[in-house]
Amino acid sequence: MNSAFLRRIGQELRILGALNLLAPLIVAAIYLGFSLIVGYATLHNSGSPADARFQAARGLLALLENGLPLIGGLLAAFVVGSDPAIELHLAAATPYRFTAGLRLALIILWTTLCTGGAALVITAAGYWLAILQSLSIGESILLWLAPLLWFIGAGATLALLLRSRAASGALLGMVWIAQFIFKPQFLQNGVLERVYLFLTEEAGVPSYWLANRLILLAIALALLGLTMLLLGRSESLLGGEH
Amino acid sequence: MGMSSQSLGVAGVSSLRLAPAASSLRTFGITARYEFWMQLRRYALWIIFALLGLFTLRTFNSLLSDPNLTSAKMTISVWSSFIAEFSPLGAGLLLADRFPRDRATHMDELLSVTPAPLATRLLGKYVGATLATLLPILLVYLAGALVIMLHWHDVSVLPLALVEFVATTGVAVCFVGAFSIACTTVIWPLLYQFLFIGYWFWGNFLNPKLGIPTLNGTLLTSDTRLIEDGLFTLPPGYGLPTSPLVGWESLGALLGCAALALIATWGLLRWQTTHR
Repeated sequence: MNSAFLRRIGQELRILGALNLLAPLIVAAIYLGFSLIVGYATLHNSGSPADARFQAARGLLALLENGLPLIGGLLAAFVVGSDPAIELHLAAATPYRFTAGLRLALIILWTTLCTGGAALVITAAGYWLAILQSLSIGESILLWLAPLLWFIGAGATLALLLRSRAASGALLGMVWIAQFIFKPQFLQNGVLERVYLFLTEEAGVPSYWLANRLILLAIALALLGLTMLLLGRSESLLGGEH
Repeated sequence: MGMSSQSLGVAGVSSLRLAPAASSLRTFGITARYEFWMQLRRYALWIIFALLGLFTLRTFNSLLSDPNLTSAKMTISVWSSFIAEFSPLGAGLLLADRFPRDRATHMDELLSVTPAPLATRLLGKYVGATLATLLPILLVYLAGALVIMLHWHDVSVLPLALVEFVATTGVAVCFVGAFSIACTTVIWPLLYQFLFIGYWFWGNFLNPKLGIPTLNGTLLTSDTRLIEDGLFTLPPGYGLPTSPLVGWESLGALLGCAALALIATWGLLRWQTTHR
């Protein structure tokens, strides 16, 4: 990796901004706070220490399965959504697809590091749920990687299709909330259960768990591929909402 | 789309400059009108609520075949409650970029030198953008209400349907709209989006028995469930019996908090302008 490329990565990270890069850590802190509160409340509502630990562990699992993936999706919409200097980018020798693709890759890398790091810390602290002990290392990674990449792929694709970061965020938010409101409908339908995003937190590890994660991963990869295709359509990138 | 919106904004400034002695009411009317059209001309607004409409209308069969719902009035109440549960989330997120956009395009600097007072511009932006965001939601709602009226052969519930929409989804969007505009003056949009989505779950759906303090079930339940339960009786199984007084209290509390959020935003923006 030459120094010019490393300098370029440094520039891109500065463009993304420290505040945006801090967002996953803020989200982790919020979920940690809620998990501690729910553990404390369980203990003080005549629950056993094991119950309190279970509730806190469930909160931390939610961080991996729905907290960090959502912020990843919003970040992806932010980086590919609209660049104020898009006209300059389209006239430059480096294709915009490469620039936006690099930014998206940095977001994938950063959120994967944050989520993977959080999973390691949760496991090391003994808050990895007992029902998940049967999962192999690969499956444990798939548990959070599949929804994370799904949200990133969906956020980026929607931002380009709707030409609006705000609209992409609104749809991601509705999908996120729908997972909770329509949980029974998702889990009672043979097709929808295979694409339910928060399966581990809401239903543990049912027989179709691995199929669910692999399907989500495949959809995520398809969405990321679609994002790269859309980034190549120069004219459609102009005139989006800032 | 962006260009046309910006052109409209500049035209609004010209109008304000041409009429420096215009009353605050006139300034408010001009600002609200331009904000209304700017928001209404966003493709994203229509696409999002069209998708929401397709999704909700597709599941309409279960609403019409529910044996607990024995009249058009009952079914309208449940439909109204469903729309208020979901659509304010999208509305709040689509209203959250109104102020950051002014900053990104440096329109706030240009507007600050016009004779239009800050409070009037803020109120005009809020009212115009909020009403425009409510319009596609109203169309989706009316489409559903029409299907219900045809199913029950009862069009007499139309006035009630409109009142229910204003008292539930209307109040909810006014509430989230005020906070979306207020909060994005201090929180950067990306984090606000996340916090708002999380808030919608925490404040409306999180089980209070879990031990985490939540607004769910209080007068500030922003999906307006208490208003629906208190002022328009929901059928058994769809809500908890609540007195009309609680419904009115919840309506007052939500609108009061929205007004407080706008006043706080006005104070903050004034402070920011003088310390720029």
